[in-house]
Amino acid sequence: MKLKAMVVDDSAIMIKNITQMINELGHEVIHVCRSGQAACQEYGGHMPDIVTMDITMPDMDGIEATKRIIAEYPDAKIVMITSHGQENMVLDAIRAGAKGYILKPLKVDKLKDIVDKVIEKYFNQ
Amino acid sequence: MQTVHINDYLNPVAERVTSYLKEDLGLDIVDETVDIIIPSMLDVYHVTGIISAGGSLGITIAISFDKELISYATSKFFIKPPNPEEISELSQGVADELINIILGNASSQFPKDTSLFVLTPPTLLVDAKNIINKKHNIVWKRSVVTNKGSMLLLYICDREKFDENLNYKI
Repeated sequence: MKLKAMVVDDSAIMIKNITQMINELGHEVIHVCRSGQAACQEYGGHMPDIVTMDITMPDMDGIEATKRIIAEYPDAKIVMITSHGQENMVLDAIRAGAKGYILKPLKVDKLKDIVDKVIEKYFNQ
Repeated sequence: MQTVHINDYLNPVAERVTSYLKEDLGLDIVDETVDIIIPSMLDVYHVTGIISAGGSLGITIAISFDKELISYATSKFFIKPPNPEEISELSQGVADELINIILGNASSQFPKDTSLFVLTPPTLLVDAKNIINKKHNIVWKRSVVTNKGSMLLLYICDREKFDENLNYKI
Protein backbone atom coordinates (compact mmCIF):
# COMPACT_ATOMS: atom_id res chain seq x y z
CA MET A 1 0.00 0.00 0.00
CA LYS A 2 1.34 3.42 -0.95
CA LEU A 3 0.81 5.90 1.88
CA LYS A 4 0.44 9.66 1.56
CA ALA A 5 2.71 11.19 4.17
CA MET A 6 2.97 14.61 5.76
CA VAL A 7 6.33 15.57 7.25
CA VAL A 8 6.40 18.05 10.14
CA ASP A 9 9.83 19.34 11.14
CA ASP A 10 11.48 22.75 11.55
CA SER A 11 14.77 21.39 10.16
CA ALA A 12 15.24 21.48 6.39
CA ILE A 13 17.86 18.77 6.77
CA MET A 14 15.45 16.42 8.53
CA ILE A 15 12.70 17.15 5.99
CA LYS A 16 15.10 16.17 3.21
CA ASN A 17 16.23 13.08 5.14
CA ILE A 18 12.73 11.87 6.02
CA THR A 19 11.40 12.59 2.53
CA GLN A 20 14.16 10.50 0.94
CA MET A 21 13.41 7.64 3.32
CA ILE A 22 9.66 7.77 2.77
CA ASN A 23 10.19 7.73 -0.99
CA GLU A 24 12.67 4.88 -0.63
CA LEU A 25 9.97 2.89 1.18
CA GLY A 26 7.62 3.39 -1.75
CA HIS A 27 5.38 6.03 -0.19
CA GLU A 28 4.79 9.66 -1.12
CA VAL A 29 5.30 12.89 0.79
CA ILE A 30 2.30 15.04 -0.13
CA HIS A 31 2.94 17.96 2.22
CA VAL A 32 5.58 19.44 4.48
CA CYS A 33 5.03 21.70 7.50
CA ARG A 34 7.83 23.59 9.22
CA SER A 35 6.01 24.04 12.54
CA GLY A 36 3.51 22.43 14.87
CA GLN A 37 1.18 25.37 14.34
CA ALA A 38 1.26 24.90 10.55
CA ALA A 39 0.62 21.18 10.96
CA CYS A 40 -2.54 21.88 12.97
CA GLN A 41 -3.78 24.37 10.38
CA GLU A 42 -2.91 22.34 7.29
CA TYR A 43 -3.60 18.73 8.28
CA GLY A 44 -7.27 18.96 7.29
CA GLY A 45 -6.48 20.34 3.85
CA HIS A 46 -4.34 17.31 2.97
CA MET A 47 -5.60 14.42 5.15
CA PRO A 48 -2.41 12.36 4.92
CA ASP A 49 -2.40 8.66 5.75
CA ILE A 50 0.54 9.16 8.08
CA VAL A 51 2.37 12.07 9.69
CA THR A 52 5.96 12.17 10.91
CA MET A 53 6.15 14.75 13.68
CA ASP A 54 9.27 16.28 15.21
CA ILE A 55 8.86 16.95 18.91
CA THR A 56 11.13 19.94 19.47
CA MET A 57 9.85 22.86 17.41
CA PRO A 58 9.84 26.55 18.34
CA ASP A 59 6.25 27.76 18.19
CA MET A 60 4.30 24.67 19.16
CA ASP A 61 6.00 21.41 20.05
CA GLY A 62 5.09 18.17 18.34
CA ILE A 63 3.31 16.73 21.35
CA GLU A 64 0.92 19.68 21.55
CA ALA A 65 0.42 19.61 17.78
CA THR A 66 -0.35 15.87 17.97
CA LYS A 67 -2.94 16.41 20.71
CA ARG A 68 -4.68 19.15 18.72
CA ILE A 69 -4.71 17.24 15.43
CA ILE A 70 -6.05 14.09 17.06
CA ALA A 71 -8.69 16.08 18.95
CA GLU A 72 -10.04 17.24 15.59
CA TYR A 73 -9.12 14.17 13.50
CA PRO A 74 -9.20 11.13 15.81
CA ASP A 75 -8.10 8.78 13.01
CA ALA A 76 -4.87 10.68 12.39
CA LYS A 77 -1.80 8.40 12.37
CA ILE A 78 1.08 10.38 13.81
CA VAL A 79 4.57 9.04 14.44
CA MET A 80 6.91 11.11 16.63
CA ILE A 81 10.57 11.57 15.74
CA THR A 82 13.00 12.95 18.31
CA SER A 83 16.53 12.74 19.65
CA HIS A 84 15.34 12.72 23.27
CA GLY A 85 14.88 9.30 24.76
CA GLN A 86 13.60 10.31 28.15
CA GLU A 87 10.82 8.07 29.39
CA ASN A 88 8.55 10.99 30.27
CA MET A 89 8.73 12.27 26.71
CA VAL A 90 7.84 8.88 25.29
CA LEU A 91 4.88 8.65 27.65
CA ASP A 92 3.75 12.18 26.72
CA ALA A 93 3.83 11.24 23.05
CA ILE A 94 1.77 8.10 23.61
CA ARG A 95 -0.74 9.93 25.81
CA ALA A 96 -1.04 12.57 23.08
CA GLY A 97 -2.17 9.81 20.73
CA ALA A 98 0.96 9.08 18.72
CA LYS A 99 0.97 5.68 17.03
CA GLY A 100 4.73 5.32 17.27
CA TYR A 101 7.96 6.92 18.37
CA ILE A 102 11.34 6.88 16.63
CA LEU A 103 14.54 7.91 18.34
CA LYS A 104 17.09 9.72 16.17
CA PRO A 105 19.41 9.10 14.44
CA LEU A 106 16.75 8.16 11.94
CA LYS A 107 17.42 4.99 9.97
CA VAL A 108 15.30 3.75 7.11
CA ASP A 109 14.78 0.35 8.76
CA LYS A 110 13.40 1.99 11.94
CA LEU A 111 11.02 4.07 9.85
CA LYS A 112 10.00 1.01 7.81
CA ASP A 113 9.17 -0.94 10.97
CA ILE A 114 6.88 1.78 12.29
CA VAL A 115 5.24 2.45 8.92
CA ASP A 116 4.63 -1.27 8.33
CA LYS A 117 3.04 -1.57 11.78
CA VAL A 118 0.75 1.38 11.02
CA ILE A 119 -0.27 -0.18 7.71
CA GLU A 120 -0.85 -3.58 9.30
CA LYS A 121 -2.90 -2.22 12.18
CA TYR A 122 -4.89 0.53 10.53
CA PHE A 123 -5.06 -0.12 6.80
CA ASN A 124 -5.04 -3.88 6.32
CA GLN A 125 -8.42 -4.61 7.83
CA MET B 1 23.13 20.52 50.68
CA GLN B 2 22.77 19.29 47.15
CA THR B 3 25.55 17.11 45.78
CA VAL B 4 26.33 17.69 42.14
CA HIS B 5 28.73 15.63 40.09
CA ILE B 6 29.55 17.17 36.74
CA ASN B 7 30.40 13.72 35.43
CA ASP B 8 26.69 12.89 35.60
CA TYR B 9 26.15 15.47 32.84
CA LEU B 10 29.46 15.04 31.09
CA ASN B 11 30.04 11.29 30.74
CA PRO B 12 26.80 10.50 28.87
CA VAL B 13 27.62 13.16 26.26
CA ALA B 14 31.25 12.05 25.94
CA GLU B 15 30.13 8.45 25.54
CA ARG B 16 27.54 9.37 22.92
CA VAL B 17 30.16 11.30 20.96
CA THR B 18 32.32 8.18 20.92
CA SER B 19 29.48 5.85 19.98
CA TYR B 20 28.24 8.18 17.25
CA LEU B 21 31.67 8.41 15.67
CA LYS B 22 32.38 4.69 15.90
CA GLU B 23 28.99 3.07 15.43
CA ASP B 24 26.92 5.55 13.43
CA LEU B 25 29.72 6.86 11.23
CA GLY B 26 31.94 3.75 11.31
CA LEU B 27 35.05 5.76 12.12
CA ASP B 28 38.19 4.88 14.03
CA ILE B 29 39.30 7.13 16.86
CA VAL B 30 43.02 7.47 16.28
CA ASP B 31 43.79 9.91 19.07
CA GLU B 32 42.05 11.69 21.88
CA THR B 33 43.04 13.90 24.77
CA VAL B 34 41.14 15.21 27.78
CA ASP B 35 42.25 18.28 29.71
CA ILE B 36 40.87 20.67 32.32
CA ILE B 37 42.16 24.11 31.40
CA ILE B 38 41.55 27.79 32.10
CA PRO B 39 42.41 29.43 28.77
CA SER B 40 41.84 33.03 27.79
CA MET B 41 40.85 31.79 24.36
CA LEU B 42 39.62 28.45 22.96
CA ASP B 43 40.49 27.43 19.42
CA VAL B 44 37.58 25.85 17.60
CA TYR B 45 37.04 24.18 14.23
CA HIS B 46 35.02 24.94 11.09
CA VAL B 47 31.53 24.61 12.58
CA THR B 48 30.76 24.91 16.28
CA GLY B 49 27.50 24.55 18.15
CA ILE B 50 27.17 26.50 21.38
CA ILE B 51 24.60 25.15 23.82
CA SER B 52 23.71 26.95 26.98
CA ALA B 53 22.81 24.40 29.60
CA GLY B 54 20.33 26.58 31.48
CA GLY B 55 19.53 25.80 35.06
CA SER B 56 21.62 26.49 38.11
CA LEU B 57 24.84 24.72 37.05
CA GLY B 58 25.97 27.49 34.72
CA ILE B 59 27.59 25.36 32.01
CA THR B 60 28.02 26.13 28.33
CA ILE B 61 28.72 23.23 26.01
CA ALA B 62 30.50 23.62 22.71
CA ILE B 63 30.73 20.87 20.08
CA SER B 64 33.03 21.69 17.20
CA PHE B 65 33.69 19.77 13.96
CA ASP B 66 36.46 20.35 11.47
CA LYS B 67 35.55 20.61 7.80
CA GLU B 68 36.75 17.13 6.92
CA LEU B 69 34.68 15.43 9.62
CA ILE B 70 31.47 17.36 9.08
CA SER B 71 31.74 16.85 5.31
CA TYR B 72 32.13 13.12 5.88
CA ALA B 73 29.22 13.05 8.34
CA THR B 74 27.08 14.97 5.82
CA SER B 75 27.90 12.46 3.09
CA LYS B 76 26.68 9.68 5.41
CA PHE B 77 23.62 11.44 6.82
CA PHE B 78 21.25 10.89 3.88
CA ILE B 79 20.34 7.59 2.26
CA LYS B 80 21.08 9.24 -1.09
CA PRO B 81 24.55 10.74 -0.61
CA PRO B 82 24.67 14.38 -1.68
CA ASN B 83 26.99 15.39 -4.50
CA PRO B 84 30.17 17.29 -3.53
CA GLU B 85 28.65 20.67 -4.38
CA GLU B 86 25.71 20.04 -2.05
CA ILE B 87 27.82 18.88 0.89
CA SER B 88 29.08 22.33 1.78
CA GLU B 89 25.55 23.74 1.68
CA LEU B 90 24.11 20.94 3.80
CA SER B 91 26.90 20.52 6.33
CA GLN B 92 25.80 23.30 8.67
CA GLY B 93 22.32 21.84 8.99
CA VAL B 94 23.81 18.40 9.51
CA ALA B 95 26.08 19.75 12.25
CA ASP B 96 23.02 21.20 13.98
CA GLU B 97 21.27 17.82 13.74
CA LEU B 98 24.29 15.86 14.96
CA ILE B 99 24.58 18.07 18.02
CA ASN B 100 20.88 17.60 18.74
CA ILE B 101 21.24 13.83 18.34
CA ILE B 102 24.30 13.58 20.59
CA LEU B 103 22.88 15.74 23.36
CA GLY B 104 19.33 14.48 23.02
CA ASN B 105 20.36 10.84 23.13
CA ALA B 106 22.69 11.50 26.08
CA SER B 107 20.01 13.37 28.03
CA SER B 108 18.17 10.13 28.83
CA GLN B 109 21.16 9.29 31.07
CA PHE B 110 21.20 12.60 32.95
CA PRO B 111 20.00 12.78 36.58
CA LYS B 112 16.25 13.16 36.91
CA ASP B 113 16.40 16.61 38.53
CA THR B 114 16.01 18.77 35.43
CA SER B 115 16.25 22.09 37.25
CA LEU B 116 20.05 21.94 37.26
CA PHE B 117 20.76 21.33 33.59
CA VAL B 118 18.40 22.32 30.80
CA LEU B 119 19.70 22.06 27.25
CA THR B 120 18.83 24.80 24.78
CA PRO B 121 18.93 24.49 20.96
CA PRO B 122 22.44 25.08 19.60
CA THR B 123 23.63 28.38 18.21
CA LEU B 124 25.85 27.55 15.27
CA LEU B 125 29.11 29.38 14.51
CA VAL B 126 30.72 28.83 11.14
CA ASP B 127 34.37 29.62 10.48
CA ALA B 128 34.87 31.06 13.95
CA LYS B 129 38.51 30.61 14.85
CA ASN B 130 38.16 30.76 18.59
CA ILE B 131 35.92 31.50 21.54
CA ILE B 132 37.05 34.19 23.95
CA ASN B 133 36.97 33.01 27.55
CA LYS B 134 36.90 36.46 29.08
CA LYS B 135 35.77 35.34 32.49
CA HIS B 136 38.49 32.67 32.60
CA ASN B 137 35.96 29.98 33.19
CA ILE B 138 37.16 26.43 33.70
CA VAL B 139 37.01 24.27 30.60
CA TRP B 140 36.82 20.50 30.33
CA LYS B 141 38.15 19.85 26.85
CA ARG B 142 38.10 16.61 24.89
CA SER B 143 39.83 16.55 21.52
CA VAL B 144 39.04 13.60 19.28
CA VAL B 145 40.89 12.73 16.10
CA THR B 146 39.32 10.18 13.76
CA ASN B 147 40.46 8.76 10.46
CA LYS B 148 38.10 11.26 8.76
CA GLY B 149 38.71 14.44 10.73
CA SER B 150 38.53 15.92 14.20
CA MET B 151 36.13 17.33 16.73
CA LEU B 152 36.04 18.98 20.13
CA LEU B 153 33.70 18.58 23.07
CA LEU B 154 33.96 21.48 25.52
CA TYR B 155 32.23 22.01 28.83
CA ILE B 156 32.77 25.65 29.84
CA CYS B 157 32.01 25.91 33.54
CA ASP B 158 31.31 29.05 35.54
CA ARG B 159 34.32 29.59 37.81
CA GLU B 160 32.04 31.02 40.47
CA LYS B 161 30.37 27.61 40.73
CA PHE B 162 33.17 25.16 39.98
CA ASP B 163 36.72 24.85 41.31
CA GLU B 164 39.71 24.12 39.08
CA ASN B 165 39.05 20.39 39.38
CA LEU B 166 35.42 20.89 38.34
CA ASN B 167 34.04 20.19 41.76
CA TYR B 168 30.79 22.07 42.27
CA LYS B 169 31.32 24.67 44.99
CA ILE B 170 27.79 25.82 45.76
